[in-house]
Amino acid sequence: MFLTVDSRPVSEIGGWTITERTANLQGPEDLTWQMQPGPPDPLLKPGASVVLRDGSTVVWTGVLTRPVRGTGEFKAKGHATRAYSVPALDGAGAVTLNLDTAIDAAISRGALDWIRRTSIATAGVSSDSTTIDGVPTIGQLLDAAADETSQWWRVTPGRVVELYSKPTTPKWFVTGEAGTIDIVEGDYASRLYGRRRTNTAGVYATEHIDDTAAEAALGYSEATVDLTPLGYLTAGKAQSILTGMLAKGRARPSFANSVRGTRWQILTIGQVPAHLAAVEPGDLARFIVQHDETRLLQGRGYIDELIGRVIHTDPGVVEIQPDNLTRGADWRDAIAYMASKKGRKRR
Amino acid sequence: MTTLVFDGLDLIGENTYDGETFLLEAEGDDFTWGNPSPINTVLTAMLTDGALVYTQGYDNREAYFRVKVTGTTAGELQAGESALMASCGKRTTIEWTPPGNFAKTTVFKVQTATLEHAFDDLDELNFVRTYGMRIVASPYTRSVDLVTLTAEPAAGAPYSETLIDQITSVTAWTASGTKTAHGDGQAVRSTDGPYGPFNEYDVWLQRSGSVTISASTPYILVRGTASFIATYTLTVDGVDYEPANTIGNFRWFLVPAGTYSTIRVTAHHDPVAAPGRPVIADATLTLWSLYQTSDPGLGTRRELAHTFPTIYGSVRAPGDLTISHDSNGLGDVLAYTYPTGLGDYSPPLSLHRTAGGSITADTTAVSGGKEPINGVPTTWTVPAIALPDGGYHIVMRMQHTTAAGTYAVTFTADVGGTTITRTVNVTIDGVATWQFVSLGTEHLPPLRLLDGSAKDITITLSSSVANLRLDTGWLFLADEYDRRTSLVQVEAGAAQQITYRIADVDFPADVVYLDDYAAGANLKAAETPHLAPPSANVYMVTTGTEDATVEFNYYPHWHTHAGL
Repeated sequence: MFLTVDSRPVSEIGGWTITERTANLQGPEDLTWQMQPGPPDPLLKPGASVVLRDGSTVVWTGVLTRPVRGTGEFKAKGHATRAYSVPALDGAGAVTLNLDTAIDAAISRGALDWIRRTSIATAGVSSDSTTIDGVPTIGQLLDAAADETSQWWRVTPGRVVELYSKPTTPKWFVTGEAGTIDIVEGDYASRLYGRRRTNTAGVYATEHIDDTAAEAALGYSEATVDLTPLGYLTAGKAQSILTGMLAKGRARPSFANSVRGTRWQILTIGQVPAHLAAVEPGDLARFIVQHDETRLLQGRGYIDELIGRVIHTDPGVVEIQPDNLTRGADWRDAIAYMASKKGRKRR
Repeated sequence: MTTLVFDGLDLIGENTYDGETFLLEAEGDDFTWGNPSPINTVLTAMLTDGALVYTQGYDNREAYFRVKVTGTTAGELQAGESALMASCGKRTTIEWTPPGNFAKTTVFKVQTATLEHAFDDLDELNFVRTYGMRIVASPYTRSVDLVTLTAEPAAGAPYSETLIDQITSVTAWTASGTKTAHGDGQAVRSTDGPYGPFNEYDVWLQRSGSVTISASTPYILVRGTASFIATYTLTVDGVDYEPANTIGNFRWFLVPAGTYSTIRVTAHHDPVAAPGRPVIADATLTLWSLYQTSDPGLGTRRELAHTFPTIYGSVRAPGDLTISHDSNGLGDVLAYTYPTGLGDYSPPLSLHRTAGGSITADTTAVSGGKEPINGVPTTWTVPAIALPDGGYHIVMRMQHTTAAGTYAVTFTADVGGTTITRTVNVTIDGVATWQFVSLGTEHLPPLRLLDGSAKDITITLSSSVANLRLDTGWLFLADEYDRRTSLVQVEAGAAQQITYRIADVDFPADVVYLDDYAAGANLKAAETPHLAPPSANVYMVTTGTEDATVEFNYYPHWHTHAGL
């Protein structure tokens, strides 16, 4: 591993060791490393660009957020995490729901150290940029745009923002020796109700979408989501978002646990032992599950699931969380969930 | 004779500190050097009995012994304590020669040391004080003396080569087993067996036809490989020759000038103890071409592949890597170390090229030429034995002839009907300027192959962009932990020397220097170079100059007792 801060090798300052590295479906997430405690160093300043390479491959990029030289602990955040604090404004500073415009303006302002190569979305999920409460963040708009198209969004280790779909063929095979994942109800819903704002001030409407295949396999269950923070939505847009949410995970049960494994337990689907640093969220992995879940799996003892988060703490071992990990199984998700709820209390 | 020297203090003899002379005596009663302690991760297995234990590495060892300070005055006793304390709490070394005249001196790499008081009223009355010395040291010890390994470029430049046989026809060939044309009529194969690892056998291919070996190109270069770990012999008109050099599946044999009528290549398998479950399979030998060459090495001299036949020590040794040229800037540099025992694996893909665009000569290219990749994809046909399974960092050297920009290139790998496809947007910074581009990390082969498989893995690189040019590419096996590989990439520019200085007792982190200053932002990849006993490989590219040399300076490392 090779760590640089603002392009300078950290080893030129002193010894370092990575204590935790995580990535989630939105790309690099957290990086923590330890150095010898000492006086502040001008290179290791908040806001500096952090790049971690494995050989010639960049595996983690982000921004140095907490350089605590006094204790020798340094924390950096992935570039995607900034999306939720950067407002969606155009070049003139006016609210825009055109994601391409908002991202380009944020890059131009220096708020996001991203690269946009392809169009994310030019039409906002809502056409309502003037009466919307507050200024939406780029993260909110990306979430909505991704849900609307049943995709996910990420900022790659190469800093490129993109939408992506679930791969159709698994890349990894997580052997039973690494552990099986258990299926729990979690936030499963076969019917999703969504509350939306109409184009008449103060008037709301409710849409719903059913996943009949999920209902046939797993039974009927319903849940509600609040779409009002997205501003005025047409019924069609609301339904698209609900469909995307169901497809991306709500219409499937959740998983109770993650698995930890070595390179001999996490293999490629071609049975080549994994180079663990190259296991990434957004890849599809084949997990072994409890064998009696016949309704969902129709007799299979495995499930092909997106890798939702990868956690590296010790060399030689990696923790892999399936997407749809039940809430509370990981504290990061719990904190993110509570943070997202806070914003919605405004109404 | 036993000696024990801690940070320059003689712990079994007289010392002088601050003008006072005193005697130090380390006591042997409860002396321990401790042990490298394994860092194990225990994973509870779901489907098997017991737990799976994985050793990630070794943590520091803790040594402990007592030191008796003897003086004749209070000042001398105090100087003893001061001297010991001056050596505590810092990174230093402790050198130990065990009792007996046969043993070598061993150096422990001390991370820190602490002094502990032990009170004894009778000792105190006799001007004697005893302290406990607790030392935290790196897990492994080292020898006193550095070992320097040097890899020189192949002599006798300029390089020249003459084709003997491209093997597009197999008519001139006879085989020890079943003879077949292989690889779209580009190679000949002999299939024998089936054999297991416990069998001793030869597989050979023989070419009949007059060949004149000239004195200026005395090496016969055999490109090809067996499906098993083999020793190779070239038999020319009944006389046997051993390889003068081996790089991946390229083998050079020095043959006296003359006109000969038969050339036989024999792959010999020595019986080995079957590892676990022996695989019994057909044994093949496949040959792709025969050349005669001026030198036993890669042609363009901007790359160097070398095997260090002897690495001393009982554990792997980190070491300082120096790449230099007397008069020229090194340009962009790749340096890679990897162990032996990985079959015919070697990083350069150029060893396996079988198809591609039309090659135009380019003296600035590492391969000596450049090719477009928008028509016929550049194709490398890699035998299974040259591609041990694992993650590979993919690096290409490319340029765009007219415009900087971001361009999509597609890498594929195929075996057994399964294809891995990887499309990467690469950013080309300049116009008609070569640069290394990383295509990320991919796992190869696409399907794990059984030991002894005679399959080839077909790897391609293509793009729809007409003006992209490829020099060549590399697959660097990525395995810092298990296989002890290391990759260093530096943009050295005009600097004539790169030194990778590993962490040691003087500075606790690795630093790469260009000439005499730190590489800073010019460093693009860095992993601590390690060479593991009993032998190891180094591979290097210097785009800025031909004939750079590589030097590896290391202390042989040991569990506890140095043997050298």
